[in-house]
Amino acid sequence: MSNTEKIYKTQGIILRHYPLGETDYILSLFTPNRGKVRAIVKGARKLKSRIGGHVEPVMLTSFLLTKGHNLDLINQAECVDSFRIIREDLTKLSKALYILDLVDAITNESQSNNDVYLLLLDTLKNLTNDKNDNLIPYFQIKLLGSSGFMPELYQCVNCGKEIVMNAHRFCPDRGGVICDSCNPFNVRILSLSLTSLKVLRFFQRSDYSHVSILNIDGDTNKELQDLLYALLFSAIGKELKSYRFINDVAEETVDSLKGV
Amino acid sequence: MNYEFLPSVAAPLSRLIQEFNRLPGIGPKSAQRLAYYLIRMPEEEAKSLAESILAIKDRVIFCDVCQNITENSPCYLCSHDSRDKSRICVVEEPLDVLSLERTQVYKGTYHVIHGVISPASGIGPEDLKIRELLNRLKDGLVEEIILATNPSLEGESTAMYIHKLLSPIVNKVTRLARGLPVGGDLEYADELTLSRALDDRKEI
Repeated sequence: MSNTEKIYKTQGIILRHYPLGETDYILSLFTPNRGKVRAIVKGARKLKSRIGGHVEPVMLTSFLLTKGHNLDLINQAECVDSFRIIREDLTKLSKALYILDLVDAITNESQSNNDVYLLLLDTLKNLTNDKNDNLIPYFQIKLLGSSGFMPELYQCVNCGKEIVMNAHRFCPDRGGVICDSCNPFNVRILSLSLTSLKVLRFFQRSDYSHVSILNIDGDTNKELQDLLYALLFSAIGKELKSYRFINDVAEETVDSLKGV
Repeated sequence: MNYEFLPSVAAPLSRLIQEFNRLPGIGPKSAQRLAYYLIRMPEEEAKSLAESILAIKDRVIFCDVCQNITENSPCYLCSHDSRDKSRICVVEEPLDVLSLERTQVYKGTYHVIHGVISPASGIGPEDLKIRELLNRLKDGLVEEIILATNPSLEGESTAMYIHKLLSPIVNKVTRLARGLPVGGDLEYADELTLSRALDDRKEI
């Protein structure tokens, strides 16, 4: 399919929507051949809209679009998978919103990236399973890899020498591990345990089927979360509120709001 | 367009055009048309318009109880004896109260949370009037909470969040039914709406 056709068909995962005017939405879609596409869908917010129920975020939908100067226009849409299990479970939904938010923030419009599309689709499918441990850290490291920010985990990002066991730290701004002897000026350096380094390397080279059975202890999990978030923050350059929402829906935070 | 530098437009008129231009959905052309229309309007009507704009800034407040927009707190709906105080219907916006009141079916009270949880737009639970809702439940007189947020992803996640928060405190937390709209068309219904319509089907 050529990318210059006036009318085109594509499937896409809806990343988010913004209200436009009285009844329209602007959608941000992630498609296999065209990457991130922004398109207008007319009348989707009307109660009797024929298209409204097919164009909600966290849906895989099949579209017929007309190319526009700035934004494309959605003519038809039919939902292929609504991920009902995700949208009826608040914990899963909060994770899905973070996943979509990350893809929206890290990708640019009209740059096709099939790896990111497949990763996103697989991750949403895996999220529908009851057991989805390690899914978020796995998704984060794979997304960084597929979008051009693959973290360096074997050689020092400053001097280029092979990293030796137990002499490693992490430098999110330079995107990888740094050896004990390098101390570049004015760069943030985080500690990195041997277990975390091994887990990161394992995540980077494995499939989710192998990653999901791995048991990671609480401390390592916390360290991984902080490292990956710092890495993503330096790639995206902004804070994502959806990350906080995952913790918001966790039991403790709900209790803290209750204490008024 | 900046009217300050157009000598052909009188200064008060250009100021009015600029003020109109700030309103949502009003572009420069509509702003000009509205301003020129006002010039031809009788003086009393123009004064009444100006006064009503000032009045909403001076006299309109949030009701302490339901957080709806009102002139007196508690508002008419919260203070009226005929309303059932043991039921609270939670809605996103003040306009939703009007829609529900039009049905003339619901006789309970409301709570307006002024928005929905939307992490992608940076709106979290702490930005909504959810604490105020929890405060209303302290006396234990409320028997049912009806969650009437929109059936959109944001509305659903807000409803689920509030449900999680309230289910240990309130006996009955319900959600408005979701299904086919009157005058709808099965052929175009999405699978979510259809499956929920099937789940909640009723004997006739």
